[in-house]
Amino acid sequence: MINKLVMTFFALLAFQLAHAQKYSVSGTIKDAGTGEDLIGANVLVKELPGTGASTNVYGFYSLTLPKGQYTLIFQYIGYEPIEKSIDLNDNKKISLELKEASSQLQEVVITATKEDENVTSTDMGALKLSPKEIESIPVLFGEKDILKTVQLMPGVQTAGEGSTGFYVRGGSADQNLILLDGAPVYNASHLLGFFSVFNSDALKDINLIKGNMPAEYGGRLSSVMDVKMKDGNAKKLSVSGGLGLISSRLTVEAPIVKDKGSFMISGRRTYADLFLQLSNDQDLNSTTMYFYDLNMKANYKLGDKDRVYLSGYFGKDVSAFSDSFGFDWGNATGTFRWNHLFNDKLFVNTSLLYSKYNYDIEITGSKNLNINSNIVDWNLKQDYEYYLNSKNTIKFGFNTIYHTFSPGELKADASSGINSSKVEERYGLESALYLSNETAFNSRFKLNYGLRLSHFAALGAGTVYQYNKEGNPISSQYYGKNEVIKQYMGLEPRVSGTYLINESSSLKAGYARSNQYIHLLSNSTSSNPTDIWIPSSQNVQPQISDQFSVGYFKNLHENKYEFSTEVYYKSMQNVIDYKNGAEPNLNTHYEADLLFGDGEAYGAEFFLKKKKGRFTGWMSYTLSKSTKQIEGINNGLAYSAKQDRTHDFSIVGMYKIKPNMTLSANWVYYTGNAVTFPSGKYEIENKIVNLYTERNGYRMPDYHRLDLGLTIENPNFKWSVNPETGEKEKVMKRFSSSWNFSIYNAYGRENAYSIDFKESENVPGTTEAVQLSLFKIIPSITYNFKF
Amino acid sequence: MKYITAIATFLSLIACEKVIDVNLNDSDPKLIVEATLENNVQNNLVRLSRSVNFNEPNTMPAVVGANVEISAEQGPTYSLIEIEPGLYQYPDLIALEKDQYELNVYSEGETYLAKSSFLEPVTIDSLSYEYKEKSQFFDAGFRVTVYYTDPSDIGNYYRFKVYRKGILEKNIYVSDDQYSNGLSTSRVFFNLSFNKGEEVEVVLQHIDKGVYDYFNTLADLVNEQGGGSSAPSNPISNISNDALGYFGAMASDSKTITIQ
Repeated sequence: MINKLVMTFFALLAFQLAHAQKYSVSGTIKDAGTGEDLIGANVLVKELPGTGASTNVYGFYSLTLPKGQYTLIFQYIGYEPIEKSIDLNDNKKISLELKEASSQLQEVVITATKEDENVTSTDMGALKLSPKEIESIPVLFGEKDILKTVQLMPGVQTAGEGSTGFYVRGGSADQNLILLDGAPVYNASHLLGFFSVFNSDALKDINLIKGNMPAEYGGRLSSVMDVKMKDGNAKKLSVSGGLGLISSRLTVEAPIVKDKGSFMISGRRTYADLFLQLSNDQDLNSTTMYFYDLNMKANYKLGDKDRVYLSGYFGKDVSAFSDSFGFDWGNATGTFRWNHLFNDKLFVNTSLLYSKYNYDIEITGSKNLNINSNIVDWNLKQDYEYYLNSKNTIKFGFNTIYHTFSPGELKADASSGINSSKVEERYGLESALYLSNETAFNSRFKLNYGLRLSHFAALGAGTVYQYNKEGNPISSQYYGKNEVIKQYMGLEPRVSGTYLINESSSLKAGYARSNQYIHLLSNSTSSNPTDIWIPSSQNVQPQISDQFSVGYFKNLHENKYEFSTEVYYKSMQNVIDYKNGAEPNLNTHYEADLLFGDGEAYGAEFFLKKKKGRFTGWMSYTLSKSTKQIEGINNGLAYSAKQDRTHDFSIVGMYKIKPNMTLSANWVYYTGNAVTFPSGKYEIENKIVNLYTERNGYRMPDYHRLDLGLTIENPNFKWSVNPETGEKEKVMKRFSSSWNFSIYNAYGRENAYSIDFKESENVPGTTEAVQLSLFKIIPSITYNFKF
Repeated sequence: MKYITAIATFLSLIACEKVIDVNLNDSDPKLIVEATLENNVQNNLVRLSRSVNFNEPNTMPAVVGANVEISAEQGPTYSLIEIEPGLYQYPDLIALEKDQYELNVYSEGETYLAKSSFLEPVTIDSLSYEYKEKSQFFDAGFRVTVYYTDPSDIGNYYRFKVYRKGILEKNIYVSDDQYSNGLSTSRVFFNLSFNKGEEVEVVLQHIDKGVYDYFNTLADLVNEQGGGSSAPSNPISNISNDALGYFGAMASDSKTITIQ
């Protein structure tokens, strides 16, 4: 099997090798104002329509052409293009900077990509966003959040009211790989999921892949969200920030050495609890509840061929109640990157990554307790890009992660009557090798094909238990340090192809297999800071998915409109659920509480976007189904997964009333998720107990909500009289600022957050259903500035 | 759980609750068994009833005319007498010993079976109370603590019953020895606030794992708390043939304290 696939790979590659004398032109493309690398900027050849290259995530491009005279066009949406004539008789280096189109001319930027890239690229189920695009979209508490904007796209569902948690194409939340500058973020939410850890001021680019992952990504079944931080302004010192009702932000960027290196520091802190302190209620004013985020990044160019980056993120939620209960949790990530150019065609990126998530609970009073848990990753990876010729781009590399899992530790005072205890640490080595090639067979047909070989070794030191059917340990074995407890290997083929029907439309199809070796134990409705990550082991097998998708992509009215539709089918193996009464926290035998089975998800997605003009925005609709079948749950019958949602519709609109004023609105409508409600009741010890007959057999009520927003930019210029001509002209000011007003849930719909079935308080002897709704008409105001 | 409660407190500033109509399915009536075998109790009882649809009133039909038997592994079989509709009583006090007991119910052509072990009672060392100011989560008032010593072997399970002036409190309290094996340990009933002059009786029941699993999963459903499981399900019953409820042999010890 492996041999065959590898042979096919090389056969395809050999087929592509041409013989004519060729030279390459390569370099980097940057923003002239800030010196930031431009990702996905295009280099087109005027004489050879359809031939071109685009920059990678470090702004690097390489294009190989037969000897000759060419006119190259360098372009990036929202920037003024540059044309350059070259005589290609040698390998050439052209690095340049593009200027942002002036604001009078600039149309609202909706994508950071080539105008027709959605049609021509082999990307399927891919979403690209820049923080700029989400600036004017109204959000809860005025806190713009990339994870919430992504939920307005097809195939991506919110995990609940106001939540940053998301599900992709019927997969569970732990099947999303969230990367910040390449380092995994294990819990991307603050404050019960109402905010994400991503401070959009610090971000440069977000790329979400919904399943047809290229071979360089792996480790999760459903999606990869690749978030990149800003590199920092390499031209001049710039400061930006914002003041909001619930949080404030400040970002400082500056060159270290002009055009050679720069840094960025960005911080955010919420202060919702300051309002609680104004309360007369003693319960509330003794409550502390806030979070902060700190993002830092620095980069430096060591000559023409090398550049190093150092970036870090640190964030923490802090809560304390009446000095008797403290609860903190947070993520830390660190990234060291080294870009090296071997020659005009071979680019390599080496990364050393660190990632940690932990929580810590402190209880003081009659009993002094401390409970903590964490996961720590050390990760080394190398990614090569080889620009073989204008028709082939080969990528290959490796990735190896050493995981340390500390599922839980309880420390107690000797006098507390509680024994200190600890769930043994677990260790795992997760590795992968990959090779892929994107090849243009002709001007119509492009194929991206690759293989990823993944491997996981559960390592000692530790005790491994075997369980019987009832979940009782029957035997145990101790493994020494770094001794291999269990190994798994997976071969993951990834293919996606594009066939251009004509200049403005294409058909795409793809297949991807993924293996997931680490899993999240989460037993509650919303994302919970105490959810724990566990490795695959003797008792827990890797989750595996196979996804097939087909799509049709069409651009209309000279790329003014973009339309796409995709259908997908995903089958999953070894998905996890819990036995009744499972207690995953502080439980040595947590594996005995797990049940395994199969999952299946399929759906159709529709997307229409208007990219240009005074009015911009998009509509997205998803029709989908997601089921699980697990022995021991629902009598072994298939049941709807909790993320199963049949219809999901969103519409987002932004209208530029005046050059400095944008009105925006979004409306979402979706049918309720699958949920378990009682079908009867009975009595035990004079208590009424609900009777459940099937898992997730009911639906939550339909959800809909309208949000409104208004962004007003204060004039960033003043009029002055030119002494030479005597005419009035605009002089740009260094300081610019804007106001953002928004209303969340503008028509006050009472959407169900949860429904409780309980004994009636008003009519004794009966029971009733009580709906809890969270946010009804939440206005907010934010002031943003930049200088 | 406390964290969820705290967040819920915060959200209650902006959240709202209302009673809604939900169209629920009908369900087949199921046999509900409530059977205890407890020392220190004059008449042990077995109550048999059936479940009803959620939208009906809270009057559960009694199961009459059933044949109910209890036997010890090392002893005779006793037949229970129906003293009122759905309520079955032992003919006389059984001298309970450390043994496994079996319950058999024959009703409307179906047989239901359950087993439960009677263990050595664990005695309550003492009770105490202490006044607590109003806090984030609880009302002001006296809190009662029960002290007991866990046996040295691992795998002991408990249920606590708290009576205020002779009336059983609705919350279900269970505990195991996962964090307290072999220790002199205690349990505070944080969410029960008592007043001066009230008489509080605490019953400590030493139970087997099957009964613990039942009450532990029942507590998830009936105890009042925010959040909760995303997929609630019926408690783990130790009764066969798809009946709900439990059969529990319970080695009990009790103490009473009056708040002064």
